[in-house]
Amino acid sequence: MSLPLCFLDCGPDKVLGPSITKAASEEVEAEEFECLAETILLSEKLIHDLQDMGCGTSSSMKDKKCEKALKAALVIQNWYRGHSAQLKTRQRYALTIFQSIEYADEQGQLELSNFFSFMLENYTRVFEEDPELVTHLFGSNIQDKDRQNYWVLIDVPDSYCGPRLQFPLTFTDIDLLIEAFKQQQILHAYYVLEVLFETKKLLQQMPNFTHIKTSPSKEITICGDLHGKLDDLFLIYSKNGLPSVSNPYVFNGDFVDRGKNSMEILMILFVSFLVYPNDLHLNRGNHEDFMMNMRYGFTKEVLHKYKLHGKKILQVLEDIYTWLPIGTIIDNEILVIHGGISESTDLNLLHRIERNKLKSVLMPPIPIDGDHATEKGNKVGTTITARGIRTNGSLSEQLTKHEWEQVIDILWSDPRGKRGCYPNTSRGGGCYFGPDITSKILNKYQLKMLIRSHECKPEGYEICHDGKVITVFSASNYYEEGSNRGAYIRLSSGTPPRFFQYQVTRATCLRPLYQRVNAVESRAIRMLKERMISQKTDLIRVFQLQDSSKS
Amino acid sequence: MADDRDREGTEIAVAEFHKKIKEAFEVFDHESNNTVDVREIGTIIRSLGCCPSEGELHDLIAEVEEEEPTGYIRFEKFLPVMTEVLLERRYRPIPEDILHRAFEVLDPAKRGFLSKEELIKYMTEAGEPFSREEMEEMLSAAIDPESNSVHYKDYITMMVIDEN
Repeated sequence: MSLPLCFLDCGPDKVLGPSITKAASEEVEAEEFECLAETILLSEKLIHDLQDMGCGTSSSMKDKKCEKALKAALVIQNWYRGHSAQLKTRQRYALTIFQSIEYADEQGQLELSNFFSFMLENYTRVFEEDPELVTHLFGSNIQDKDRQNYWVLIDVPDSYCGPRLQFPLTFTDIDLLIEAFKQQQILHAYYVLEVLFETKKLLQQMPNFTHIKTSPSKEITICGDLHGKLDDLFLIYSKNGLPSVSNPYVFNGDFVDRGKNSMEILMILFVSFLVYPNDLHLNRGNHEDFMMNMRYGFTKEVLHKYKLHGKKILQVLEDIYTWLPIGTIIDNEILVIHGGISESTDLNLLHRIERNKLKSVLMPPIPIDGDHATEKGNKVGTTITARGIRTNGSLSEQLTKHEWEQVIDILWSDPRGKRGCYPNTSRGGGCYFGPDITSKILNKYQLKMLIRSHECKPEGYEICHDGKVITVFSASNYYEEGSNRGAYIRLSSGTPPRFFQYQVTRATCLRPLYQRVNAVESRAIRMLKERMISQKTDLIRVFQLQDSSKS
Repeated sequence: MADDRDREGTEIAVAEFHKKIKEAFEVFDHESNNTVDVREIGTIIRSLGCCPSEGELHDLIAEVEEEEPTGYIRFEKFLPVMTEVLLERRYRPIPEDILHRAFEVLDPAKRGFLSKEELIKYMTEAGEPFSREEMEEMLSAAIDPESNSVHYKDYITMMVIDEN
């Protein structure tokens, strides 16, 4: 099935023509443009054609007609560029609206969670007296680990006509899955669990940061957020080739949530990883977090597609997420992580910590007995037994607060132009880091560049902080059809990174810009309206506070 | 007295323009540090209702750039220049009827349409030529796929409605 797509080279070339002097009058009349020498502006061909069209016999007549046509063309081009710019600006506005709403959501959730943590931290008596309340508030119980391998008992009926994977996996299994998913088949839970268990075993052997070397003949491809958009992954694999020893990939987090094929994306990525464990690298994103999945759609997708075994699958995924590496480092120069950094980012510490102890951004370490845990594993909580309660147990099952914050910064931070490091208020977690922070941290570890994802960009990628930070986002049409392009990066040591953009749409992708912008804009405004209506009483109250004259 | 009123009127206008310019600038200030990529200046200026030609845009950019061009334009430099432009009502947009006349000039036989090839030829070879992307974009909206031509009167009407 071929997807209609727009595949563009990066960076349109702007053609700036020579200066044209202009009459001072307000009305722009075509007749008032003054021509520069026709040799510059008119090609020979055009003159020739105009002659063919019967421009008249005398040369002065010819010139006059050419001049008129030239001015007419200028008028049209001028108008068009103005019109086009208006559309682009409207598109930008619409995207800003979407983004604000998206972050406000995340912020709301994190603030709520922070509130709970605060309560628990400061009211540990509640904790001690009523552990079940804590469990209720904070997370599900740990299941029996003994029943881990019960999946082998799952039966795959003969009537199942979906893909059947053969272990040990080979590249043919990748192809098999892609073909099957293109036909919207669902992988049987048996194979899902088998893949998940094998993936977890392999991930446990990976360090927190994978160090990769490239060479001119072995470029690496870096992809950003996919968020369950399967078509984008198909496009990337199709345009850029399947992963292999000579075609390595880094997928920089946020594979799941929001899109409707998060499961299929995970399966393809994990199978690719199992076949090429040294050439397919997966970094954890802020959505590789079972609590985020509950809110942003992946949990629902799994339970819907796997009615019988969904819960088990989710449970295994919880663990797998924690074993995903934190980042990759390429040629000792380029740091690839999902979100960003903070002024206190300590790569050495991050290399050392036990990353699998970070279950969720919404489950920060809880200090016990009112003490704050500063030494890892030095204190043991005595008042509560570990059994069945996830959030505490012995302190050795948690990260220290400092370690936890370090990882949250990596997964949630955003670069901004303002110097310094500030709490990321729109998301509620991580921070905003300025170009000075980037320089400081990169220099500290002798790195040259930071590649991250986490934010949707209209062109699929964006360079900031003086070329030191690149954002790459691989889910095209993330908010709405036509909202943004996706992109991926190819690089190797010694050469500047190359960017590849694309946009996947079901309808003709050559839908005219104004229609696309209209669609994106009306969706954005509708969402904003919904928001405003749902918060109407709050909004009115705030307005009234500001409006002292009661107008 | 008339002078005072004039001055007050101008002050109000300037304040309004400042606000508009700031808002337009902020849309493209991705890093929130009062700079925009120089390649977006054209879009910003046009979004404020002005229609400079590419050549005029080139000159404007030269005015707002740093002595040593950095690829970024700072708001502090952009604001005064753009305010002048708005106050002097420079680069007014093309009225609909002039636009229509321009199309008619390119269609001397008064057929009411331009063929796809003709439009491409004029737009990419004359005046301040379109880039390939601009041409494709214009065609996608303007072309009537059945006749492979641009019925310019309908096209203009559609675009103008859309703007409002």
